[in-house]
Amino acid sequence: MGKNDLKMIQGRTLHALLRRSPFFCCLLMAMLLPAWGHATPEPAQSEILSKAQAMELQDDPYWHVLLHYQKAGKGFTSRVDDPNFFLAPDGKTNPKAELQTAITAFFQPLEQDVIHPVCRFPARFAWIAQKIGPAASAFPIKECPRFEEIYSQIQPDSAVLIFPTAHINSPASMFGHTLLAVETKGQGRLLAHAINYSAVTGPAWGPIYAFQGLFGGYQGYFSMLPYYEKIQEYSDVAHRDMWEYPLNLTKEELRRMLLHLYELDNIHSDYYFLDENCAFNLLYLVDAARPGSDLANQCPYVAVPVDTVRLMQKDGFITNAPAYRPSKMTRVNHLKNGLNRHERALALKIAEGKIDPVAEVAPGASDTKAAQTLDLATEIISYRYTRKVMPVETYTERYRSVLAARSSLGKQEAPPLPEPASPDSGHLSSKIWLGGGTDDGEGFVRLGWRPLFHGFDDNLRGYEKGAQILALNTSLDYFPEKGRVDLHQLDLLDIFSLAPRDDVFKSLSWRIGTGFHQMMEKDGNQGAAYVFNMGGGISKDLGPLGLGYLLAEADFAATPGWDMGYGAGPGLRMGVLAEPAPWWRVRLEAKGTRYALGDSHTALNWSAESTFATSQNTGFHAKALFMDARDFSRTRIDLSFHLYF
Amino acid sequence: MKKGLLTAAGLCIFLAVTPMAVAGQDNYGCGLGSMVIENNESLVSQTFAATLNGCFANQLFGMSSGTSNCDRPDSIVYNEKINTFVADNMDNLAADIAKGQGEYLDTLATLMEVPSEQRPVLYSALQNNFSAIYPSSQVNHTDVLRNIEAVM
Repeated sequence: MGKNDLKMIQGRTLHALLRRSPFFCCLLMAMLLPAWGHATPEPAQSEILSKAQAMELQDDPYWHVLLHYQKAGKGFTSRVDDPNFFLAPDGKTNPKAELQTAITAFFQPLEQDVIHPVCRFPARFAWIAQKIGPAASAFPIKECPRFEEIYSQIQPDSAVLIFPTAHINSPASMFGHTLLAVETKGQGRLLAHAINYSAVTGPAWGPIYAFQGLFGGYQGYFSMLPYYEKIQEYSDVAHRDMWEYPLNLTKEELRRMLLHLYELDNIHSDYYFLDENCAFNLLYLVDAARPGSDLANQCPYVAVPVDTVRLMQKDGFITNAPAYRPSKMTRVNHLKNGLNRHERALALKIAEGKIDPVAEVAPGASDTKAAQTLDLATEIISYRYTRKVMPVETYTERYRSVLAARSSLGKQEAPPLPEPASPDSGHLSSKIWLGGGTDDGEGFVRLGWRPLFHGFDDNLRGYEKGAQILALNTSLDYFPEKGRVDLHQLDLLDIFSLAPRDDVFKSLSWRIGTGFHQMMEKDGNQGAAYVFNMGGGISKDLGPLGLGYLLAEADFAATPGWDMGYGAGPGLRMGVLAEPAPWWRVRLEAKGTRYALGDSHTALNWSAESTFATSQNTGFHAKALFMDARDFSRTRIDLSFHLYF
Repeated sequence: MKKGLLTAAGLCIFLAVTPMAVAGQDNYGCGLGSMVIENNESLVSQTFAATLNGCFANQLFGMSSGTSNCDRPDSIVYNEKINTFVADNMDNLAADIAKGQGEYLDTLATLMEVPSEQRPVLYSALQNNFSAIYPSSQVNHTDVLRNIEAVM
């Protein structure tokens, strides 16, 4: 049974299954692997082999792109972990052996029911043939018919890099994601072919998920789907706005990209959330499209999707502005903003089935407003269904009846949806800062570093409002009077998600943070303590006043400076986060903790902070903090200059 | 050896068919409401699912597979591409038809090769006949295509 036959039998379903089950995958690959050997060396073969050797093709950067080789010690190792990606037994670490084995394999005669090596690795074949020149006519097969058939179906005309932004209320996804879409001329974007690299994950308990994702426990595969399915997934269901960056790839480059993608069909690599992730693996496709480009090797250790967008801009793959595709949540909020309180309430009642939509179209309201009210009701119904709050029968009935009412109102122009700043225009992902201040009258100098990603003390431009994710957020304070250096703060991880709650979106807000902070000790001095804090609550959109929030929390702190060495108890946090101007961000917060276990006491913190952006990657930050714990209080004021890189 | 392979192949085909049967029971046909919907997982696993973009990878090259589990309309006017598109985008297309505009409607017109100067007339005809195209909530994509053809 050949690979092609398999595909014809059961298309998507079979393949989905194969990828769920490594066992079947291996088994089938074993079945499909053609038998090597017995290839009698021909004069033409020896000629090509020696020519390839003379040209040192194994050292050509493009060969290393096609095999995903990276430097490892004195030699090379491929980032691809699937043995089926290599023809030579030591192909993963030996570019030369892989090249020679490939040339030999390309001379194999065509056999029924066996996939010819040219069809397994058409990009390698095309490149070698082109490098060898006229001698390549000795290869018994000139191209892979199956690939040519697919290529003529797709007729690639242009490609777009797609960036779905953060998942609202899921800041762990706030790095975003990237995929590619290949468009056919004259077909429109919805029908483009989306190329996606993702980990194949089964249902798993959250922490297991995280562990496996971080440390390569899942396998990543490429997939290709109609782009409209990805739009449903991200924009309609997951409420992620999408940005579409056009790539300036020529037809010839697109062909090379698809040739390489074809080689990666059914090939897995271990998926690492931080570096060898979706965004990183797409870089290989772009590198394969344009020989001489070297995106994958320029990628920093942590491949943040938006940074790969910037990398492609820097290297000239993206020269035009992106297109914006608002998510369902954005569309709902926009429609809500265009209606008054009465109309919004009406839309909600229609969506809840309490009012007949046709009654709404009665004389009185203007057609435009009536249409917008019904459009809002439609979006809410669809939202509730995708959240499984509404059963399918209710959904289809109500959705159809609201649309039927809407259809009688004619085509109505909706107010244009304002486009936010694109993700690439935001600050870079890493930050250092330098500043100083006074701690209860004692002066200090501060130095800080944060490798990732975005916090409430950064400019909002290009980022998701209400989402903070900080990793290894570190700062040191130097007190010249005492000649002492304190660890002011080390946030190993700090995630804060403020998703505003309203009539439509019954979102919860939450946070979790762990690391080391300066805490008030028994004698009124400060000392570094390990802290763990988590909480949940609600936030409200207060319009120009920003986002207001209230969270119930649980706190734990451990330090030798406390009785029994630790304290734990409930806490309450409330605050406001606002953007009075595009370059200005303000946060006011009050937090109280009642340590009931261990060192029993109460601690109160009041803070006001403000961030002023002076450019995309520079800004000032000022903060005043008043701490009141046990019978002591302290005031700390500081100012620092932030530089993003 | 051969027997083992056959068994494995048989098992694969069996397993491949099973999810379709399950899907049928869940009433996800090709009518309204057949889009992908969210799993009610815990917040943490949702978080990481989104992070890893954890969906099952799909077949890489299978664009022409068509709507394997849906009926095809008997009208020859509609090719497989139109079928697949309408079946996969029932809800968004219905919304566009009701509004008389939108990207899904544009794509349908492109697939039907309607020249751009004729589209305003087509869109308005479809909008005016929304209730004829979607006579009930049980309508499936085949009915929709037949009804659209009747309006044109």
